[in-house]
Amino acid sequence: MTSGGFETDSHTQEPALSSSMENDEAKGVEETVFMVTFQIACQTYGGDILQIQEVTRLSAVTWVPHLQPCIRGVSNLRGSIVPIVDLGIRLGLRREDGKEGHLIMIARTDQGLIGYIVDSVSGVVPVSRQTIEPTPEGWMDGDHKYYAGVVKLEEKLVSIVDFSNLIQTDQVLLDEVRLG
Amino acid sequence: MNVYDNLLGMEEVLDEFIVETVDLLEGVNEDLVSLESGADGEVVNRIFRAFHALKGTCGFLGFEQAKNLALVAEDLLKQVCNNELEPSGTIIDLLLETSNWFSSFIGDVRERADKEYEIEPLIGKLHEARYGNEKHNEIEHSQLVGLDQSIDEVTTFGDSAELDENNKLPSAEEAEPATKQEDPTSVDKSVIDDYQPPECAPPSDSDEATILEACSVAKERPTTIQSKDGKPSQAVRTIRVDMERLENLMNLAGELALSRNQLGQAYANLLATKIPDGALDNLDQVNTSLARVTTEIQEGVMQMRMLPISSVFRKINQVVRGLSRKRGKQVQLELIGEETELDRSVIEAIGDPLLRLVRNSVDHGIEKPEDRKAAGKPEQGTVILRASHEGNHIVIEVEDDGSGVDAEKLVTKALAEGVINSSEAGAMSYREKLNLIFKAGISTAAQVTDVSGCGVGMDVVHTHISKLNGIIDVDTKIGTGTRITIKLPLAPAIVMGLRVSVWEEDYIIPLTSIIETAKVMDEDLTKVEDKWVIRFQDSVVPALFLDEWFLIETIGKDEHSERYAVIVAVAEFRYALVVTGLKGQEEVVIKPLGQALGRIPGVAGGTIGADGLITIILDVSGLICHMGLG
Repeated sequence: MTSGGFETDSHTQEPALSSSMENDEAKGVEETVFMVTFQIACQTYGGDILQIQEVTRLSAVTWVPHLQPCIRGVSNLRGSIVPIVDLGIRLGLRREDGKEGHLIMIARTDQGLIGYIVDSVSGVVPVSRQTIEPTPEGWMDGDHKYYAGVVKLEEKLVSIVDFSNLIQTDQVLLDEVRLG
Repeated sequence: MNVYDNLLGMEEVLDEFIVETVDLLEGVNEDLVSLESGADGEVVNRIFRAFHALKGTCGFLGFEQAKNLALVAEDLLKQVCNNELEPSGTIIDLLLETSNWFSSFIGDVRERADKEYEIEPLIGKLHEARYGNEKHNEIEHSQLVGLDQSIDEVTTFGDSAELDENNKLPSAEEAEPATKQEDPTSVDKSVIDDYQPPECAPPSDSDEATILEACSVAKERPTTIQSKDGKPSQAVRTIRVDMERLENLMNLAGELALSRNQLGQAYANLLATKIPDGALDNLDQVNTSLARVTTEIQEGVMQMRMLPISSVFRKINQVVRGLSRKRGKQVQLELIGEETELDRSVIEAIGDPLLRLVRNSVDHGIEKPEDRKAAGKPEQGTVILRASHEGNHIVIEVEDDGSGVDAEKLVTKALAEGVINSSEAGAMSYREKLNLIFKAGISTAAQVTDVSGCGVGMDVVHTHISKLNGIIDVDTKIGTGTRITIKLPLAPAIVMGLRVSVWEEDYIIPLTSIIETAKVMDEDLTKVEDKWVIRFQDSVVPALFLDEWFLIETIGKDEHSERYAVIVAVAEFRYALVVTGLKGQEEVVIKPLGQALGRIPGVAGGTIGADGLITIILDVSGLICHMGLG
């Protein structure tokens, strides 16, 4: 069984996945999911491969005013305009003026494609679903909903980023009040 | 018991029913209006068949009330068909009312709302029109109903009995077995019981013809046009296409055009390097033909979305008819340029504002016949709806020869409503006073009527037009009439824009909003109450510095470098956008910036240039609104 997707708490985007998961759990079937591993600020993170459409090089980004600092602007992905988010800033891993990565992971979300800037992408690893643990409570100052869980990889804990929950449209505008 | 419970799993059938019925009703309304201005029997037949088909499908889906209403209307029409009844104004009104009822009914079906309707009065009126001056033959009627119901079944399922290639009607032998192919679970038992074999009530030849026509009614309308002498004229072949697919195709066509430009650029670069003569001939050919085909594909896809504005105009025609009768006014509606084509989405968006404008004209513009006579005007008032192309725009005018708008009255009203204060009123130019008509809460109607004059007319129109990047203008003369002009871009996805630079960045301002551009002299700019204004011709307009808006770093930039003002209009107001350079006009395809970003104030979208870079396209009305200038 190769259909994957990590447990993403109540915000799970794909109901089909979660239901198949429950079944599997009930039967106690060992399920393998595939995880993309990538680096930000020298730390390794993981992401559900089913959420990632592709990885491309960062091309020219057009600046759009009045958005959250983590949103770098928009970029051209083969004719579609895709918002570009600095994942490091979004996860609070780097100061705004820090060094910027040069790869974009294009994630499929309910709000269409979103490009996330990362430093490097190292590969894809199979992970047994049973070994994925829920994100510790109170982790990252309440930001734990941005993570789908943690998994031990080569004796190191790797947090799994849930790309579907990172950008809330109603929070995108930075300063609407000031403008009005 | 909800009627939709029985239709579980038949979503597609229901959706198809909605689409077909909407089409059918549109045809009926058009035909009814043309019937009033005197039309031939073919039109009556078409209306008859439409109601017949409606009755069939509604019955099949279990919408009993709708079926009954259609049945009565069909009955009435049959009389008209057989020349036993004159299609009088009352009858046409009744049928229009019936058609309108079906429109709202379809709205409910779309929402899957199972309702009980008050249709008895309408049915009663239809009955009265049918039997009013004629003795009701009970036996004949019941036979007719029985026969008709059998036709229903043929019609409903007969849709699957395809018309042959020449769109000929199926013969009786072909149509009959269709009844036997029914899904036994969906056959209404009573229908079978009521079914009278033709031997019991032998149909006349003409009846049979009606049956056959009825069989084909759903298919016939869109696929063939009967010329007046009965010979089938050239068939108009159409198919329904999902808008999303079309949109997708349009995106791809835009992409293709982009690639073409890039190829052209690459080719030009190659030519510039030292390459033996003739080595690139082949590439040159390919490049040229690719460019041509791409352009044609792009235009072709665009044309697929274009529809004539006539559908909107006809609807308005119908409303004017009813309204003028209700108000006791004589109004003639002239439609000019019905064939003018514009993008489907614009058509959809323009219907409502146009309707409001025309209602206003009839309600408040055109005077009562006696008043018109007293004023030395013909008793019949005229409202003209005119559409035309003007470059990349469409211009729609609503003109009436009514009483005109009194700007002073607007001021009085605005003062009374507290929309403006007296010092503001004193400073207003004639044009500004006239533009008060677009402010919320203002209506010149002496009394509030149920259609307009409730103070939510013109401001809504104004909002709609602004949303479409359009400009609206009022021109009026007291006692002579009013003309309202709307100017809209042809398609929302294509924007003619002016590329401007703000220091190192480029932006595109839609040309529809632009009135003109001018170089800014330092002395033209002044501050009034903490806000920048600029002198433009004889007036003073608010100025907005784009670098400020886009938070572009201006420290270290030359304060005295050249600046230009792009004078824009948001509906009827004028503003100046201050930029550092004007680069020229171009036609761009507007794309959304991505759903995740939501609506960013002042940004309409982006466009991808030949170099692959994205340029932001301004949403001028949003920008003005958010700067608190509006």
